[in-house]
Order: sequence, then structure tokens, then C-alpha cells
Amino acid sequence: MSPFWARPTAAVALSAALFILSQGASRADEALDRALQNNDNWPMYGRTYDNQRFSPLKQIDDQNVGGLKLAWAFQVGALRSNESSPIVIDGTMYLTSSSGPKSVFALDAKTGMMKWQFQPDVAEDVQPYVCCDLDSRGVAFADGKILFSQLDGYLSALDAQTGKLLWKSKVVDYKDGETNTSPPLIVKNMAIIGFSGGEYGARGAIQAYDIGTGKQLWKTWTIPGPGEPGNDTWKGDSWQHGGGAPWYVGSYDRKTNTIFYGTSNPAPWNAAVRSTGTSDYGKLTNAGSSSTLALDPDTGKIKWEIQSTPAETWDYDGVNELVLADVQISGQSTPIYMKADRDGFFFVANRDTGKLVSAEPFVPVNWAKSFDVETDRPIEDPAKRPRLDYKATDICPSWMGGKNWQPISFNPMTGLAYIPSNNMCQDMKLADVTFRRGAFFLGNDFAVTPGHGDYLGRLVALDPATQKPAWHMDLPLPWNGGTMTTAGNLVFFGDIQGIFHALDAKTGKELWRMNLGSGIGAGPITFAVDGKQYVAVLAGRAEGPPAFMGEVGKKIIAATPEGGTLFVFSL
Amino acid sequence: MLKRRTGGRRGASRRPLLPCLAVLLAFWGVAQSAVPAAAAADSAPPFRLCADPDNLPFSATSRDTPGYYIELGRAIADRLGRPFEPVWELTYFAKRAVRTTLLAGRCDGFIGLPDDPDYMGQKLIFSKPVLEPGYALVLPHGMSVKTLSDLVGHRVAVQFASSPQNLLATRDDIQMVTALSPEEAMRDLSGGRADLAFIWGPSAGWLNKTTAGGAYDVVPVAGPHMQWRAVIGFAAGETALRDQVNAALDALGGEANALMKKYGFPSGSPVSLAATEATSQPASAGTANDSAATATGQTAAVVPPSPPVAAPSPDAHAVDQGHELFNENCSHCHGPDAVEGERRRNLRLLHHRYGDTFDHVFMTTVTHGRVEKGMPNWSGILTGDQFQEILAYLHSIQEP
Repeated sequence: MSPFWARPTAAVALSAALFILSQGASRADEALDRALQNNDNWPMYGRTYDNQRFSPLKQIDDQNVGGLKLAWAFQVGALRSNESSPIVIDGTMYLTSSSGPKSVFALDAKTGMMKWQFQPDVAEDVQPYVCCDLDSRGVAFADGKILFSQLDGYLSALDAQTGKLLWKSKVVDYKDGETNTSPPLIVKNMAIIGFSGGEYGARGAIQAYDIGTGKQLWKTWTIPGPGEPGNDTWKGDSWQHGGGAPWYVGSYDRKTNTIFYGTSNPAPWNAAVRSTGTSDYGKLTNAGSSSTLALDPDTGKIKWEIQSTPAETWDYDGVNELVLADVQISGQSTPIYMKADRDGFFFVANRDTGKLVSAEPFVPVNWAKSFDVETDRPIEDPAKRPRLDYKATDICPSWMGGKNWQPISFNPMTGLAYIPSNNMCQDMKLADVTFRRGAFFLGNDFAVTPGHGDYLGRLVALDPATQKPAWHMDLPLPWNGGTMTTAGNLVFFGDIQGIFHALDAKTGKELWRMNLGSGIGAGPITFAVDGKQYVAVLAGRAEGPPAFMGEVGKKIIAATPEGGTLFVFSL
Repeated sequence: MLKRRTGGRRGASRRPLLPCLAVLLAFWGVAQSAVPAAAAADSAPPFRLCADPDNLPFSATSRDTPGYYIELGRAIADRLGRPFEPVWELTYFAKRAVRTTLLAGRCDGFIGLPDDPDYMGQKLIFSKPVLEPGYALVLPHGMSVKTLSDLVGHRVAVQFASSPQNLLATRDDIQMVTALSPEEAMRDLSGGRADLAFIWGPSAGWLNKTTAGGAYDVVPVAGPHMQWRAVIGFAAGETALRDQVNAALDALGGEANALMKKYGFPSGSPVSLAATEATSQPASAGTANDSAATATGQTAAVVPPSPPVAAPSPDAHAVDQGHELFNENCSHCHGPDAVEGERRRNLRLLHHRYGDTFDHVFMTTVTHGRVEKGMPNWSGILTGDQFQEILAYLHSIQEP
């Protein structure tokens, strides 16, 4: 267990703190707060700061969902890898397409009629630097503005009324292999954002920008530098290029004024460069990578961190979203975060104290026999750790993770988390893979293989208090879409074959389905306008990741064509 | 993040690379008999070679120093009796670059791939090695390194995620200074942050020659993961072309070695720094470099293959001419006076989009087309001067 850490941040932190003080008390973003108080809205990626993807709306429920009909559809004008969650505020929907994004839209949420369209100038040559397709996961709303990430490393702000560009700030340089795919987290006067691409020599960082001006307020490295706690968990100067990129969305706990981010795997792939390269890594855990970080949003200081995969080498990013909830554990209401990690363990931790509560596999796992929550360490199987010239076979889960970015949801009424999981394994070794730019570069050479059992994907309904599954639904392919759940006792999700499902949240019984014609990755949302509830999901199959999935990837690509359509349903 | 991987992908559409093999073979005969190939080259299909546009000393769009691969590719094309045409593709994700260019029919060969039959499964076949590059020590004059232990107590600049980094990671008594590029490692060396460097040999030799004024000795290193063979990859099935290219490589004689010398590739006997005695030394290590050292300097006259890069003309007359040409030829797709609502076709955003590479992108696009996006190739329709005039006009109307 890591102690409470107060890692010094970049020099800007101090001036940022002074800047905030000079503004008087750190003010909350009132427009977003108002939007959050209206249950009809879906005002941010995970609907609320806790990232539960739960809506209290219940006009559509387990009794009437069978009558769901198409209300309207909208073509986003960009095919493949449409991963965006729309947001809805007071009857207006905002969403991004993939490819840069190619477009940001404001739509009348009742009719789908377009209010405005903004097409950012995204560098034409960004594609060669993007590992996993030209995705965009959506926008954030704050203070009359719509903020979004551009693949070419910019954070941009538009006027929510007109779609006019207000400012644009460079977060990273895509030519260093760093790109932006996820919407920022809005806290007070700040847009907080990470970036992707940690494998290629970057040192991960979380950065905060002033919503009004786009100026950077603070920057906190995820990987500790010299003199910072945890720097001695890195061998030599390896911390400088240690990866740990926080490329997905953050969460925020207003009560303790804490933001939470997951970080990606460490770099380079050969763990011997930054650790021992063996399961006996001792103190060389590579702190800050494959971890959950808790930070003070006012200063960017790290309060504490919990590592999910120490001295990681399998491509088990720890970036997956942190879902915050207060649940009864052993008779006590406990403030937790839950995380369905890439490494196959479902982590439950007390988010006030930074102490792990439980960590159990939610998919077949064999790289570690178990996870010891007292020492915060997995009990590894050394035969499953690939090394230079040592091929480890049948490692479960694969790089796709027990779960990848496709978001889970949590329903406080059923007490269940709904996880789109992957049952895939892999063979892996560290090998020479690429001849470019002045070197034969080394990476981990791997081949994914179907997991054990007659399913490759599984929707798991898990009780985070007990770590016991309540029910599951097997799926023939992995890489299925994110989930959303409602007070109407429903779970919605789309699968990679393009079928959009509504299930009974308590039992998993399928109550409704509709073929949307292209594989679905994005998480659905729900909202209401003028007293009528709608459910929306963006369909548009991934192209990049299936290209890495061998025969299974071929099946995914054969199942549906690319697409890019938002479908909106109502009774 | 996900990793760059190229497992199964849906079948890339592959069009015939050589629509007129018989014609080609006829010209091949001409070339073989050492008749100047100019006449043949006028009508033979171009030898299209995919390469990275920004990867010196191997390949670049630069006019004066296009890199060893490009000059070699041109020499091969001469032997084939075909005009040479480089096709540029960044290799940040190398296998994807091969998929989207070579395997999509956009070029006939991809130069600089590793000589590994498993590199992309059954999709590729390979030429003979065109280069045997490897890692090298960069030592201040007078410094001698014979074994790994000679590095103890020194600060050694290495590249991130490279074989030298992995080798030195096995020793706790050697201090590494990690750099992201050979350029950065050389700066660490010249700036006193490292005592020596252990980096990619061709880059080290090139930088030592071009930026360090030969201040260092560049010594090839033998051992596991240290020496490689680079080849030209062809789509599986293109055995005829592969065989012709191999024959052309044989016919090059000392020309390849002269090019290696031109680009400063390291020569001399390799030193073995293997971590253990048991590791075998690749038989080929240093061969190419030794040959380079004995080359006689009969460097062929090299014509830059990259499209001519035009300087923007301040000439108002050229702008007017270009304006007229634009409205006659380009406005059908790009809008009269280049006023265009579809951003992707809006040529008033070229500077915004391409910055300093504006001119280069323009010339490449008009002389090669972007067929997949609907842009035709205007070579032979408009003249070089007319391209310059249109470019001058476009420069005059860029949005800030």
C-alpha cells in the first residue's frame, strides 16, 4: 500500500495555485453543476463525476422496453471506430465523430436536427502516429463551452451556442507519438486531461487548463522524477521515458476534492531496463505506471496511488475508468472506487484512504494466482512473464485486457457493476519488431488466442461488495461495447456484431434487441426532453484494434461493415 | 495502449503491380545489354519504391541527400530500365505502412524491411540484403573498448527500447544515459552528458560525418540483436520482379559500397560485447562495412528522386497566371478562386495544414495525384512552370 504521497509537480503548479487564490475561492463551474442537478441530462462522459453511467430516469423500464422504437438517427459523416458518448444538456446533444474528430455537432436532442457543426483542422499526417485508430470519445461541457480533444494533440474549446472556436491549446506533440482521444474532466475552472502514447518514450502527465483562456494551470508527471517519492522504483534514468500515460477519462469526488485517473503500462517493453525483468522485482515496481492516481485538482499534487500491475510487461494498462460509489461492505457504508482492470482483476478500494478492499479476477486470469490486498502485490506465475528471447505462452488475459476502454456501468439500485469483458489469451515474448528511424526497435511480439471456454466475450454483472457475479451473458466475439444502466431496472449495451441490447438489470434476461448494422463500441446514454425519455448509442465498428487480433479480428471485421450513425430510441 | 500489431487483416485489395510484364522484360533485355535506358525509361512503368520520407541516412525527400535507400533504388531502377519513383510513407508503425502501401498496390517494393521470413507472415517475399546495418560504439578518438567491462565507470548514451539498452541493462555497474534518437545521443556525447554512445551505427556514422566533423570513431558491434540485414520487400507472388531486382543488385558492383561510404556508414572490424561467451557472432557482421571501406569512390551521378520543391514566387505576374490556371483546371473540385466549403478540399488551408512542407506536399500531390481521394495526377497535363504559378497563387490566398 502506498502512503499518502505529495509528489511535487511541475513548476507551473505553484503559479497555478497562486492564480487560483487570486481569483478568490476556487469556484465551481455553475453551469455544469446546474446541468448535473437535472436528471434529464447526461452532462458528461459517465453522466456524473462518479462515472457510474447510471441514470435515474425510469420512464423506459423493464416492463415497457420491448416497445422501444427509433425516434431519430444521425449520420456523423465519419466511418469506423466511433467511440463517442454524446452528452445532453437541456435538450441539446453534443457529440464528436471519429477521425480527428472530423466533426463536432450540436443537435436538437428531441429531433436530431443540427444546430451547428464544427470541423477542426486536424493535421493530415497524424494517422501514422496513432496506434489504435482515429477515435474520439466525445466532448465535455463547462461554462457555456464545449471542450474536446484532437488527435493531433490539441485541447479545443467551442462556444456551446454557436460552435465557434474560442481557444485551442497544445497538450502534446503528436510527432512524438502522443495523441489525445478522450474528453477532459471539468473540475471548477479547469479542464483536466491526459494523453496517450506512453510506449514511445513519453513520460505520462496529467495537465489542467483554464476553461476561460486555455492556459495551462498545472502539470503533474505520473512517473516520479529524482527526489520524488517512488523515483527509486525505477532503474537508472528509465523514469525519464517511463510511459504511464493517462489516456482515458477521469473521475472526481467533490466531498474529498479528489480526482482519479488510471495510467498506462510502463515503457520500454523490456522490464529489465526499468526493473529486474523477472517476477522478483523487489522495490523496482515502476511507480506511477499501470496505477490508479488520486490527485488534488487545485494543485495537481498526487495524494496517493495504487498500482494494479507492478513492473508491468504484458501491456496491461491501468487506464480503465474509476467508478465511484458508496456501497455496503461487511455492513458498513464504504466510499469506494471500482476498476475492472486490463490485468483481469476487479479492484475495489476505499477512495478516501487509498486502501485496497478487494481484488479478484473477473475473467480467467493466470499471469497471477491472486492479488494480495494487504501488500498491494499480485502473486505472479513466473512462467507467464515474457522476457527477451523467452516466450511465455497461454497468458490470460491478453493485451486486450479483461476489459479495455469500453466503459462499465454501476447501478446503485441493483448494487451491480456491468462489465463488457474479453476472454482472450496470448503468447508473448520480447522481440525485435520494427526497423525504422535509426534503430531496430524492440517490442513485445504477441499473438492473441481465444480464451478457454466457448465464449470470447462476456457481459458480467458483478457485486463489487462481494466480488460475486450475479449473472452473465456470453457473447461469441470479444471487444463489445460499453454499458449504461437505469433506474428502470435496465442495462443497455451494443455488441461488436452490431446488436443493441436491453437487459433486465437484476437478472440479465434480454428484454429487447435491435440490429444497428455496424459493430458497437461506444457506451450508450439516456436522457429526457419535454418529459420523454430517450436512449442513444453511436454505432461504428472499430478497424484498428481488430487488425491486431488475428483470426478473431477477421471475424470481427467480417461481422459488420464500418459505420458512423447515432441511433436514438424512445417508446 | 494497444500495441502496434499486424495480425490478420481483411484482405488488402491488390492490383497487378506490373500490368505489362512482357514490355518490361523487353526493356530488361535492353538494360542488360548496357544500352542507356533513357528511351526505355520514357515508356516503361516506373519502379515505385516505398520508403520513409524522414529517415536519413536511409531515405528522405531531400534533394541533395535523399539517403542510401533512395540512391540505391534509383540505381536499381536504372538497371531495370524503368524510371524511378519513390512513394513516401512514414514508418512509425512499420507493418501498417507496408499494409497500406505495398500490399495495397501503391508501390512495387518497400525498402528497409528486416530480412525475416516471419516479418509479415506469407504476405511478403524479399530481395537479397541491400544493407547489413547494426549498432556501433561512438568513441572519442583514442578511447578503446574491447569488452563490456571496458564500459564500467563510463556514462553510455543508448537509445530508448534498443538492443544496447537491453544489453547494458544486464549490468548494474554501467550507467546508461537514455536518449530517444541517435541525434539526442550524439548531443549527449558532445554536451558532456555521456562519455561514449552505443547507438544505431548508420545513424552514428552519418551524424559523425555531417554534424560532428568526424570527432569520433564509430566502431561496429557484433553479437546477438546487434547486426541485421535490410531488404526490399515485395508482395508475395512478385517473384519475377524480385529476381530482376536481385540481378540488378548483383550488377551494381561497387556502386552500393560507394553509396555506403557517401553516407558515412561505419566500417572496420566489429567488436564483440556479448554479455556471455556462449553467444555466437553473426557471420555477416561487418561485411558490408568492410566492403564500403575498400570502395573506390566511383559514386554514380545521383539525380534526386524527390519532386522538385518550388520556392514561393513573389512575382505578381506568376500569381495572376496561377489564378487563371487554377480557375481553368482546379476549380471544378476546389472551388472558383479556391473558395470551397468542404474543408478537406479547401486549398486555402494548405499552410495551416502542412506548414513548412506546403510546397513539397503540393508538388507531390499534383505530380502523383491522390487517386484514392479523387485527385488526378497532373503530370504531363500542366508544365512545371504552370505548377509553380498555381503554387504562387495558392501562397497568396492562404488563410492565417
